[in-house]
Amino acid sequence: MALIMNALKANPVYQFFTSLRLTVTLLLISLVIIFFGTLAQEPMGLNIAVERYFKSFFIDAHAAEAGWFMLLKLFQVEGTPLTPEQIINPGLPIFPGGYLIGTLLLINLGVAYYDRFEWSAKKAGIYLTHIGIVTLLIGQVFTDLLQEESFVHMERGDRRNYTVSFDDNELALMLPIGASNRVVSVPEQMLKDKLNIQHPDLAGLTVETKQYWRNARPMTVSQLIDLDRDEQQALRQAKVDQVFAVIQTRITALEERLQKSPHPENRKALTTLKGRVFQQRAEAIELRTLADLLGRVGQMEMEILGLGESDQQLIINQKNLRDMLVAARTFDDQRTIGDLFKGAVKDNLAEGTLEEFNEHADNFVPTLRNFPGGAGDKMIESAGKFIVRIKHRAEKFHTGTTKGRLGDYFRFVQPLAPAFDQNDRNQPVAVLEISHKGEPLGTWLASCTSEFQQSISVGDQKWKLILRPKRHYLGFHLTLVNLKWEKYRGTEIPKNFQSRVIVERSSESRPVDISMNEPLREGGQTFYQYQMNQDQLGATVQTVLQVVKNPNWRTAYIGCLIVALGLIYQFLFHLIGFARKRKKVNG
Amino acid sequence: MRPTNAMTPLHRIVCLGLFAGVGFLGCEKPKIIEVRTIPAEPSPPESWGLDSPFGPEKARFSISATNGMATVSLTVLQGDGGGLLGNVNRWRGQLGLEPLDETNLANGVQPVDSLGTEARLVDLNGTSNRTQLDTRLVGVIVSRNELTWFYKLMGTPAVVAAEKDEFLKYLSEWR
Repeated sequence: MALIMNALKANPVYQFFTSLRLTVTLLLISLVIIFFGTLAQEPMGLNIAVERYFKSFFIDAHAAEAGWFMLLKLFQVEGTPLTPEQIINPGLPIFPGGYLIGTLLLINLGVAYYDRFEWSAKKAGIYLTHIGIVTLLIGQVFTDLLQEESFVHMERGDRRNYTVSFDDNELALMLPIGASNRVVSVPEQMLKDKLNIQHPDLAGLTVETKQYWRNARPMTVSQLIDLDRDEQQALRQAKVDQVFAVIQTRITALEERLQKSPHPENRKALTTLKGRVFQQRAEAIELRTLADLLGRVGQMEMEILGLGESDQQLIINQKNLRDMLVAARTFDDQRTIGDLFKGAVKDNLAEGTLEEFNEHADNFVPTLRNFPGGAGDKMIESAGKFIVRIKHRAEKFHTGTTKGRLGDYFRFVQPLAPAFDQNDRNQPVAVLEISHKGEPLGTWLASCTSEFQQSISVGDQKWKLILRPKRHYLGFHLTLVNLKWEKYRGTEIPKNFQSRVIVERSSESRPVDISMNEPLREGGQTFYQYQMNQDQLGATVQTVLQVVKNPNWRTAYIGCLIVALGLIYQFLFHLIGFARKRKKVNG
Repeated sequence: MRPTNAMTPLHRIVCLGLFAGVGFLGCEKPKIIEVRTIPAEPSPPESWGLDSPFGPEKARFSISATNGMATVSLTVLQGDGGGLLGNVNRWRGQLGLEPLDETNLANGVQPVDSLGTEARLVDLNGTSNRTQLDTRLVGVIVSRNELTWFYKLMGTPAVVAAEKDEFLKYLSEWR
């Protein structure tokens, strides 16, 4: 045995794990991880940063880049921000992550103890303290693995038997069986990976994801046209802003001139003009009003700077400014044509295929010619451009679903940038091809933006389909009966959030008040008062409870208790020893 | 005395490689299909169309038929919500009927077995103050758990008559 022990102690791997140098290095690395992980939370969002820095064995290149970018920003050095794709998709592993450091620390501590351990009453407290720390470390890993966080939001009178995940979504396929529903919950990740979804409980149904968007907005035909209209409006506004910027520069130059050569009348006129520019800038300005403003600035320039009407320096003679106005006018026309198109075909837009939409679009220009009073060549030319653009847009966003009321209503899907902020939630959308025992049933649109349950008929069975935030069902019901939002007098600072709920089980029903420091513990879950929401009139109408299910919750208390016992023991041991020694000296 | 053999770089790489392997195994998110059996959620009759709630209402449905229209609404109020007598008289007033007093209230309301002992039903016919048309109102008031629920089916008498049974059946599940 002694021989084996000596051989083990001579082993370099054993020595590596028993070294104090390793402990110090690991603690230093963990400081670095915590520092950069905290910085990375701004561009990546809290959850992604925690996952990629602390709850992983290695930090990937993209996560590290996010932290580095923020560090540079701290020192006001320009860096390249991460793209949404980089934030979502991990890069190559380049640095140890939280789990690796934690595991190595644990091994280091265990092996070092094995190497140096000796039974001694003098050190028992220290041993106990370290056992407590090990318990906390291991407990944290189990908490990460087992803990589920969700929330429940309720208005007065709402009754819930489920909570909703903060981040996860599910495709729920439901089949009524007597007074129950069988729910087959497919994680969103399977839709993202476009896996062929089959399960014995789906009774021969197969779901295949044809298209998936992490965050998107389903659109009706009318909303598709509005989207184009809004984009034209934004482009127009950008041009108008450019014109205003030029006007502002010119007014500043005129003010400077007036400071050098004061002229009370011109000063008064310029102040009036400045006020008008300020007022118009805050409004959706008509282009003719903008042209009028330019004319007035030009007049002031002639008055104050002494420029002539044909002077090239005069604001109204600037070619780039005229080009800006022409461009703004073009975007204006496109916006108007979008409105006309919507009005002309509104009765034919509710349903239809892409081909039908294109047909309506192609027929629009001839229709425009027959409008009362007719349309000029310029308008026809503009309409032609609009038609090309709207057809291209329709083709790009069209989903081509064949079944389901959601797909009938929303024919198009607009991809949106993924949301990373903790307060935002991605709204995934998917186009699903569903078949039964190999026989195609059609394609359905599923979206987290709608709570509408769609039907799938298979023989006598009527399945329901919905993509929604993942639900965690409770073994009881909660009914919200009252809520309170108290503020400190004279301020908007919350003093107390309180929700009164009725907890209903088949055997009993009891009222419980949940407030900020008094959570409800029921069914292995803890319900914390999280948020209160008000309506537009300022009345408190909705409560949000955060729900934590942590089967491992005792470990933290046990770990702390062991640490405390160890410290108390160590303190008392030394105190008693000291007292005895003193007694001896005195005696 | 402790041995002093140093660890070679190769040993270090092997050690870290071992952990890397474990790390990659743990990185993949689980993709597990879960199956649950839950109590069936109440769903309104197919002939009811979802409508936007009005004022303090929590939910509203509209029913369109060839012989008229009706609406179904649910409102929840704190406490007794103004009391049984006050609310019955409010509904009676909407149909141009004379108010009841405490003594004859009991004759104007009926119990609803499926909703428990606290539930009271009124079935009124009159002329709507708003539309000036013949209107029937079937209303149910339930006080429970410090709240009062008001369920109302109101519209053309023929449509209300056709929908009354479905309405009362749905109420027992609709909260």
